Amino acid sequence: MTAIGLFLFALGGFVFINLDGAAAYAGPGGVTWRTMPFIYSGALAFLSVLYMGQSILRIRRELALPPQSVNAEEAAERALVLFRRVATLVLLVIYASLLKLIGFAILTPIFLFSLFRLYKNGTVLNDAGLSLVGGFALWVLFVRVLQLNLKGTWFDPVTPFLFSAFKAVGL
Amino acid sequence: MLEGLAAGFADMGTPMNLLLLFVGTGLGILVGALPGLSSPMAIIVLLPITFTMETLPAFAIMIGIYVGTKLGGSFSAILLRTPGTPASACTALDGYPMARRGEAGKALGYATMGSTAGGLMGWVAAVTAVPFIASIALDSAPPDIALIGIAGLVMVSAFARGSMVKGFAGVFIGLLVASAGLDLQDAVMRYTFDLSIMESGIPFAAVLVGIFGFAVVFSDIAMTVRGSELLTKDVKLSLPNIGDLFRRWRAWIIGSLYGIGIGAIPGVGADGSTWLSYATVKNQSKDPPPEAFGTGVPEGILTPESSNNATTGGALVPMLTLGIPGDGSTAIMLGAMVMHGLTPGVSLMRDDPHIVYGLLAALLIATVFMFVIAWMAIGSFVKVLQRERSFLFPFILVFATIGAFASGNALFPVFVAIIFGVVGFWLEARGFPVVTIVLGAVLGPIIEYNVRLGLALSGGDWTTFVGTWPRIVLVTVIALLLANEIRAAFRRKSEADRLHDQKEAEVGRLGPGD
Repeated sequence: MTAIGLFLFALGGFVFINLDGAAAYAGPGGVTWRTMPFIYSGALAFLSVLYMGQSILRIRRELALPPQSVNAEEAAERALVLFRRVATLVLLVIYASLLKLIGFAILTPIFLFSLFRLYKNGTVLNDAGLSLVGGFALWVLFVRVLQLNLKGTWFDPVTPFLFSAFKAVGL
Repeated sequence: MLEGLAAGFADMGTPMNLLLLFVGTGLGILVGALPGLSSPMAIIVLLPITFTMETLPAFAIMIGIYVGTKLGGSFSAILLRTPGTPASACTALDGYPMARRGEAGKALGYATMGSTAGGLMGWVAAVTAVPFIASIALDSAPPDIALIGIAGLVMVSAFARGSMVKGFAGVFIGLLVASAGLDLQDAVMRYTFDLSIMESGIPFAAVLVGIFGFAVVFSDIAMTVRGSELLTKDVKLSLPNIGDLFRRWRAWIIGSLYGIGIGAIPGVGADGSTWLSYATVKNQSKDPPPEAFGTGVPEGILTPESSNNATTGGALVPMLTLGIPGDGSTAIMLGAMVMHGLTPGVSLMRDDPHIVYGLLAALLIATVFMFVIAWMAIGSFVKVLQRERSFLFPFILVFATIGAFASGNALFPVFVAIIFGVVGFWLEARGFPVVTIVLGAVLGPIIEYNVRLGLALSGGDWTTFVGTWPRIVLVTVIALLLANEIRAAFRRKSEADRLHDQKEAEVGRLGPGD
């Protein structure tokens, strides 16, 4: 699968280089804007074919040997790791997608809390407290100190509130 | 050179820069001590903060982290038998048995002294080599620079974790990634998919965040499932005296020399140097005898630790003089240089000598800070070892996300980082050294620009690439490295076939029921 993915990526190097079909006029030594990327794509395609061959040989070798047994505990651990990996990715994509809509101030504590619960960090109350304190500290660092624009554009009542609270205490 | 170095120390000697170096080094020790976290990841996590800083302060914190992680990795290797960084794996061989004998403080003391000695020797080598190589490199013409870049990539692929096919595949992915965006010579868009956001190419900071941030978290999530137990929670550092250290001079001198030499080879880094130096010292040792290694002898800690820290000096040499990174951390630092408006490569010493000397000064100061911090506060770092990764990973993900966001003040780099995180994790899990992608992406534009400029200057004559003796030597080195790798690949294949036949014969002899 990896070899096929690499091969397709290499093919993409030829196909998607310029969708407008810009003309290539040979420069010094016959080099154009597409010469080097085509060399890279060609080399990657060749390597992916080699890797495919190596993978087929390895699979054939493995199939020739008797299957190795996996104990139940190991299998359960693998399943849990896979679940946490996929869930982390999903949460990350949701976090990135909503970051500009809802804003950093609301979203970050929720994101942290979800991950703490996913990884079974501590008690619910402990994780909630840690998420709120951690989220606030990160907000101070990124929004107040580093002045990044992380305010939500759709629904974010917390950022203006925090700004006015800081103003009220003279910070 | 001395004037430049003095100016570098003056630049780095401001209270703010010293504070940043101190914080960076402490943070580095902390990060290194935690298995699963690494120097590239820590630098990536701090990217959003360093964006807003001046160049030297930003690099002060990065150099501090780079140096600190080298020592920190040995703490968990000694106390958990789980190396904090891959380069510290060798330290566990003798550090852990020594700690099991109840001499954890002594083992950590040897690690601290070995790291400091290696760091100092690496610094001396870097300070000597950088101005010398830079003065030669300044006379380089575009074909020389292109060939040095290609030689660097071949070395990276050849030395990175064994498989040439996988190493080169990573390099070509990186080169293709670097090809995206507006081609400045012909003003033609490449791989932009008609998206204006892609015109300046794939955001490099996002690639780094994906590969060294998200991918590492995806990979190390397994650590949130498994726990680990410390050998002892109450550690007092027991430093060896100078006489003891000098009596074991062979260990840290050989370790340091290996570290300097191998650290300067792109892509190999400290991982290879620690094992090679350990094997050399072990095989040549008379007192203790070779068979005593692995049972907890001080030489078994001094050698890999001195080697590990000496690589920092070694890796800075090609980075500062040729723009070729020695490892993942220096690759990120090269990327950070670009983000700070510098042009890494042969012209760095000519255009920004204060940066070069500032970094060299930072390397020495960070090494001294590393020793002081470990000496004063080792107990605190040991306590941190007890923290589970489930507490840290969520924060790392937020830092990495905002790091990618801050690089373009947009969400596009965040999604690019997530894609590279998934791809990086996938490839790393299948044995592809993903650091080669980053090195390809760093060196790609330099190689293409100089190949085309070299051809333009020679009127399109390709023989310009073998037009001088140094170029012929470089081409020969590239050819020999390739030939050697192809030969090694065939040897590995026949070895794998032999092992397979042997295994099959054993299975056949035992029969299915056994």
